[in-house]
Amino acid sequence: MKHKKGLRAAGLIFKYLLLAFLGLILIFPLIYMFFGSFKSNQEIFGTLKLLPESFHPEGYIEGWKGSGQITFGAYIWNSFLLVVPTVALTVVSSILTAYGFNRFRVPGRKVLFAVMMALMMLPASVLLIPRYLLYVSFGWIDTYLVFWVPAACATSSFFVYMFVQFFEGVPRELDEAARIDGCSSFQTLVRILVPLSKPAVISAVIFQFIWTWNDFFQQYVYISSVGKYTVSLGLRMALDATSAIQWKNILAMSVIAMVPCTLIYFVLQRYFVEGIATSGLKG
Amino acid sequence: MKRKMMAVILAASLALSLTACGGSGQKPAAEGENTENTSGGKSEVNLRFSWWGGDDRHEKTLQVIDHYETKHPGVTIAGEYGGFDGYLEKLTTQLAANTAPDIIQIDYAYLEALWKTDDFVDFTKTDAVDLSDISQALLDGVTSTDGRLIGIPSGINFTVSFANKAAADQYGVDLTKQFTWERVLEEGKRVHEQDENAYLFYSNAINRYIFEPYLFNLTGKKLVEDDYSLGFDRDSLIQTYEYVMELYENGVTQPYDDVVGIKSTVENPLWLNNKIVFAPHFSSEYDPMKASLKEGDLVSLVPMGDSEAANTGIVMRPTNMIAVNAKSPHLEEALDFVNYFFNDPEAQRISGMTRSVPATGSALDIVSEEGLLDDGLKEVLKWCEDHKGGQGQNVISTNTEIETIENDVLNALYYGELTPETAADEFIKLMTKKVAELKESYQQ
Repeated sequence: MKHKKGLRAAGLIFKYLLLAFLGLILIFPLIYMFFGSFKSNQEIFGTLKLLPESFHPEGYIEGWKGSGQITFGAYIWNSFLLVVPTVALTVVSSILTAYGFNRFRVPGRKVLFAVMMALMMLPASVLLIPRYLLYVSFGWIDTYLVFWVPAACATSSFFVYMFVQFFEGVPRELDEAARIDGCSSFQTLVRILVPLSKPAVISAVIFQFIWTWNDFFQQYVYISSVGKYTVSLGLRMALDATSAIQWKNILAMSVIAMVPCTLIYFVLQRYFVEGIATSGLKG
Repeated sequence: MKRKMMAVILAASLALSLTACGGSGQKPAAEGENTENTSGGKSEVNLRFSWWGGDDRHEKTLQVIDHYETKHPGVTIAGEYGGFDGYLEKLTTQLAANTAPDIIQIDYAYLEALWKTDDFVDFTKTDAVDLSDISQALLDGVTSTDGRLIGIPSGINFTVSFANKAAADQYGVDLTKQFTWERVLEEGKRVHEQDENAYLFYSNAINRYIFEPYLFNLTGKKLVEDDYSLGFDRDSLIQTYEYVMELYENGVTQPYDDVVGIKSTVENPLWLNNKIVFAPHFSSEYDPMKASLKEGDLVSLVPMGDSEAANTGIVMRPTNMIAVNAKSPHLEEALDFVNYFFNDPEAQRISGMTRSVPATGSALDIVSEEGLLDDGLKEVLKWCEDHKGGQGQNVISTNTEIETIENDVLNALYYGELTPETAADEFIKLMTKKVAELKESYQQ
């Protein structure tokens, strides 16, 4: 009896050790980046030691000053200005579109859905030039409208598809019950479907936030005034082969640039796991 | 309660999204008018100037702009700057959509493609920019075959071997004598025998600093001649490939496997730990190279090879060209700024060495007086000029696809997939095809 218990404990210890080890491997690049933000170039490339010689926050002070006349704080503010409306608009517009596809029998629905799915497969780089020309004629270049307006028009097929799939899992009996209680179709969406789809909403928020926050190329192409540069553009300002790059400044600012993404993930993470739709059928 | 709140928020954001969608028709018009007013007004002139670079270049260029603005009230110049990554993609997109800046920094490697367009002002057709202070040879190097000059070089880039004095002392390598190809082999063997982790040199581009100059020394010709004929033969190729393999086999240079992941010398642990005596580079890399070693350890040496050959293989090329957008609504002001940028003493003083060794004679004097240009580097520049530097190159040969072919064949050779003989055949085959393509696309 006792022997068995000991064996189980040993197994448990082994499991946890293995998990801890794997976790460490996964997080190692981030740890390295954090310590690297205190090292000189010589230390970063010349030795394999993980810990820096001193913890002087010079990289953070210098990096925050940014290049030229703009500080890193301005980049972060710009990023929020671009990302937050983009995320909100994407979620709202995708939910509306998905609701239409999933709950209404419109003629041509299947064809439209197939077209939307096809768009999901289209690489973004193919769209670059036509979109750019379109935005030029609208006069939107160098404004965040380039990101906000498409988000408001549910152009991310991926999220529309995700919501369609999720709504599929919400029983239609709930809609009928709501209609009997006097809900209009819009109220059914807002009061029944959306609250039940919280996990999908949360994952859409997290994904869109991280993708937009980290996106470099779209932002680089559409934004040309340095005063409107975002974090992902700001981080690359000083990366040039012919000048002495202070890696610790860049690593320090990368640490700071990661904070919002990490925070939003940890704050919203528990909703990922939380129980879903079927709970509405009980009782 | 919670549900109600959610409903309100959602409804509010819905309304917002709807107006954003619906309003999209009117907004741009308003915005368009706005830009018209500011840029098209009588006294206000807004110019845009784009460049790539590091922090130092950004800072100094902004200062140059500030100085111009105080002297020319009514003209404002917005800098659009960043790193080199993505610069060309953005520029071509902007050119296609007519939204490119008025003043644009362009790279030597872009020239061949940009010559085909009419997007830039031809400086030979205007007197607005005084070019008399820039050597004719330098300007000739960036003039197209039909005689157009679309970018004025702001700096000169040339081959230089950067040596680490500490490493040279440790392994007893005499840095005062030039490194001929034979001497590289001898000294390289000696260094590697003393310490199996030490190498005479490291290069992040064997094709550019070994393969090409060695081949050019043998043939005396350009890689691809101006008339699109190949400037090499099978025998010289075989000899060159044999030499490259000898360098690897004798530990003269670091094994290719060890350096695949390293992008530049300053990221090479062996260089930082004084295990490498020298590294061939372009002069524009002087700053990061200097910063990578202890104060006073960096020595500038003349390039390796046969300095008396018909083609010495020494690269000397203009860099960081400044171009003016031919479609700029304020051409006159843009050209005036470019003239100021190159010829105003204050602008030259502020710019210093931020765009490599300056191309204008007066700016070169200023950086020498102020001690910004290292004496050793200046001597190498002089030496390169005296040894036919830059005369063995042309824009066709620096095509990036040709560079890819060079590297692919060298890699196959290193890994033993090809022998020097088969490598020579393969290189001739690939180059014949590529050059025919290039010639065809040029004639179109």
